[in-house]
Amino acid sequence: MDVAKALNMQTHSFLHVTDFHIHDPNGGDELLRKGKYKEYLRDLVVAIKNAHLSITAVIATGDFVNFDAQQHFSHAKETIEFLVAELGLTLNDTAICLGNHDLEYTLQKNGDPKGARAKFASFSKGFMNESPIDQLPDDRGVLCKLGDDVWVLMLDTLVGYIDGDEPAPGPLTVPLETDAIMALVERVPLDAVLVVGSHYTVEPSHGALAGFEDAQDDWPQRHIWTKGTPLRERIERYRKEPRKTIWLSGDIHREYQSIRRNVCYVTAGRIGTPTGRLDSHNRRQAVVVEISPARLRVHRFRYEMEAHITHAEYGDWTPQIVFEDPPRAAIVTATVPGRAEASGGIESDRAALAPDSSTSSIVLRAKAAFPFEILTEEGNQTIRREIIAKQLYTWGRFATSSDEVLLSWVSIGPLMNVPKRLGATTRDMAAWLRSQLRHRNIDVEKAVLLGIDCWGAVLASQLSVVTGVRNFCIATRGRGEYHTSYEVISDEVTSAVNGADCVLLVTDVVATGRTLRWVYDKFHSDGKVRQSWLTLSILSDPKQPLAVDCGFVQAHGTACQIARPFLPADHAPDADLVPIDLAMPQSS
Amino acid sequence: MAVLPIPMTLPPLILSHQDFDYARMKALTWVANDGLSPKMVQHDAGEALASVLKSPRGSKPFVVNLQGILEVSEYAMDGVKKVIEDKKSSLVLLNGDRLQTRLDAELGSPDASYKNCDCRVYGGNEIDSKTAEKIVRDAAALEENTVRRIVKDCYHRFPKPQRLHSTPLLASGVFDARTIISDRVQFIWTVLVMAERLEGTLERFETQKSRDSVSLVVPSRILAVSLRASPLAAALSMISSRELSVEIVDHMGPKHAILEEHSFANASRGVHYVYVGDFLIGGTELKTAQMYAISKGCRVGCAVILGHWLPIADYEENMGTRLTSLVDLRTCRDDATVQWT
Repeated sequence: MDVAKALNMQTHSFLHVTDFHIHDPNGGDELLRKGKYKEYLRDLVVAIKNAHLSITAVIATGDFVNFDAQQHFSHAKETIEFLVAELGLTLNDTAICLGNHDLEYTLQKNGDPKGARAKFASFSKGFMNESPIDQLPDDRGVLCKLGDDVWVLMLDTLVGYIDGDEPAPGPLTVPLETDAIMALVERVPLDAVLVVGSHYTVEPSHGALAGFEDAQDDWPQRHIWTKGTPLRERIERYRKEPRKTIWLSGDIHREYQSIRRNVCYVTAGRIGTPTGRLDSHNRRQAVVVEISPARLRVHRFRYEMEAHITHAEYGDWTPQIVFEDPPRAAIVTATVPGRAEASGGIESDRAALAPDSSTSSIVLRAKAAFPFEILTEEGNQTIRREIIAKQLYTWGRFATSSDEVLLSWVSIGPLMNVPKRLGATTRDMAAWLRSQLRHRNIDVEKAVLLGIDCWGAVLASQLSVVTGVRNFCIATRGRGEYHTSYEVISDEVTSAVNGADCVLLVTDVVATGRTLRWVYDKFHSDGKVRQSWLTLSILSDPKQPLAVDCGFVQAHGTACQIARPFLPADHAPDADLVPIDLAMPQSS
Repeated sequence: MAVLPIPMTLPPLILSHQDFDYARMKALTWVANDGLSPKMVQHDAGEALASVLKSPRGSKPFVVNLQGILEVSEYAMDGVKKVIEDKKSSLVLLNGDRLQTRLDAELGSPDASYKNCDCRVYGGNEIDSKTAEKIVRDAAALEENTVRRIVKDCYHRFPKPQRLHSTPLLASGVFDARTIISDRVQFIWTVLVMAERLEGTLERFETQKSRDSVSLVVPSRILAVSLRASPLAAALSMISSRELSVEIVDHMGPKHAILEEHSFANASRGVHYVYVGDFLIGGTELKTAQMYAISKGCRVGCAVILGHWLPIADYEENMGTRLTSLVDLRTCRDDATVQWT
């Protein structure tokens, strides 16, 4: 049996669903209502099967019902039973944990934690939790075993909380309670997969933006299990093997994923809740984490509603692989050595990179499409919403070069001025940058960031702070005519680029690609490429053909995908018919 | 996706004094939090501090300035506490008064606390009140000297005097902020000190407003009008303890060329700005920014810059705006000259 096959045999995929928030099964505004849940969940299963994923187990991390609808646990169970049956599984292959909405908090506050969980305990019958290998006396931790190489630990992160008027992440006594949970963790062989499930996330960066959007001052205390930090640190240090430990959470109705040491943290958005609310733009979703010794992948299945958001009628599940460890191979586009394609004609075929036989360096004359990734879907959607809300997208005639006319403009300043937007974009760009350098085995010291114009300079300087990659701000508008020699590409910049193995161009918007090409050509007049060239932008539309050949770009990360159509200048109506909104000064 | 361990290359973020080592907590949080929530100490920043405390540094106390930190997460200081308990280092925390409850919870009661200089001492039995006050003064001087050296080193001498682009004075060289921005450590220190000066300036506004009951408007938006000021301005808005938005105009200096005229159509009105710039020689860029503001019913209420050439009072009188500058360029580089002919 070959290695690939052997590895595939050890692949496990876990379907993570969370936050059902069943409120009124007989009503009309929930996708999990009686009259809709079967088609909704069956479509999800079809999407999962189409992605060639075979589910090992289902992990559901709480808030099965809404706090004021705990009489509907039975319907919640019915939906899960249906879902697992469609997957060819049973409830026994499903692990669950308590969410804050599942708890009868008043009872807990009054000193009856068992009573507070009575309804949930009844709901739990039949699930994997009912036949644990081990568990703690207060059910804070329940350890289950699915075969020799897969273990599941479900944690109740609400135990002991009695402080506020509403439930929140509970305390965790050090060392008594952390030792008790670690005793469960230590039962899991280090070479086996451990899935930890909890309602509240223990990774503070997952909720960093959500707190602001929800406008709650004490948001972290209400939604991040900070008391679980010592436990998290111990598990991270104990479970050292890569791609063996995942921690799944919900609660915040946002998606995020991160790796700390060798533990992958995944927060999934909600699968339920009524539609037609202010937050309906946060799409319902389910997550599949695919894990094998060689690879970990996070697949997000997001439900795109076609109908008006005020009613939940029809939509489609859209899958996306949002994370891979090790990172996905870079897409390098090139032709065999030959004549370069003329600008303006973008072809989609790609060929293998071929060495130039006359020299030891590689001659790259690219002609292909623009390889891209959206940094995070969360960021993508958030930025789009802000553009819409602030009416930042303007139609018009914007002459950014003598050859093209842009038909739209997005004001970057007001967009980046939303609190934490700059920080969030920096974080997402930094994560992408680190992933790219890691994949290419390039040290931080051998990379350089070039921040193009004002907002590119802003982002490059921030990235430099958090990653340690050196940066330079360079002016390109007007091709240097309107800037001093200390603001354009200078000898110092050239020297830094020549000494680097990787160059990252950071800009606010990629529309025609002309500026990127211009910068690149400044360093490669001889056509010889010595470095990997990557690009980062706030906005771009990689689906749109560029005006010029940017095949030198090996990878492009964009915070938001948004259409920026343009026309060749001689295709645009005359200026007296359609006045020019912007004429960017150009030199040759 | 944050990956641990974070390559923070901490040592350059530490300044060394003969009597102590010194760091700003916000430098650590800025890096450790990946640019998000720099005002909050989370676990990673705490671990980074702990690792510095554990590293071989001799017996000097370690001084950490908590200026601008608004929150300390639970368990963030576990590692730090352990180092203190193991008596591997003594720790002096400055400007931690507003965090007293959290610090007590995380680190326990300090061995000494000096309210007059907002100083908490852990494991440093030899640090009395006078010593603490001296540490505060010396730390401020250390930062000032560091920034001064950073600015001094960013000077590029011309082969022969040249006319500057902004104000046509004949200069022997140029102070190039790009050199500072390109160096991560220099950039961090410069921005942190600028941020403190900015906050001090805005506090004085507020004090005057409440004292004199005048219809004084406290500036609430940062304005940058050049390429090199943009990273400084954005960084200040991000790390300042105040909620300050940022407006970038491309660009009014050193060479004036407004490249996005159409954006002025929807420009804000009635805003009071904090102008953030790099170096002011003749003051043209600030003056242009002030006229830009006035022309749309706004105002540059104050300015914060890296360095100035003329006496500050000269700029303030002519610009009608308060000016805070980190470095007097004339005293910083005695080989720099600026003249008309």
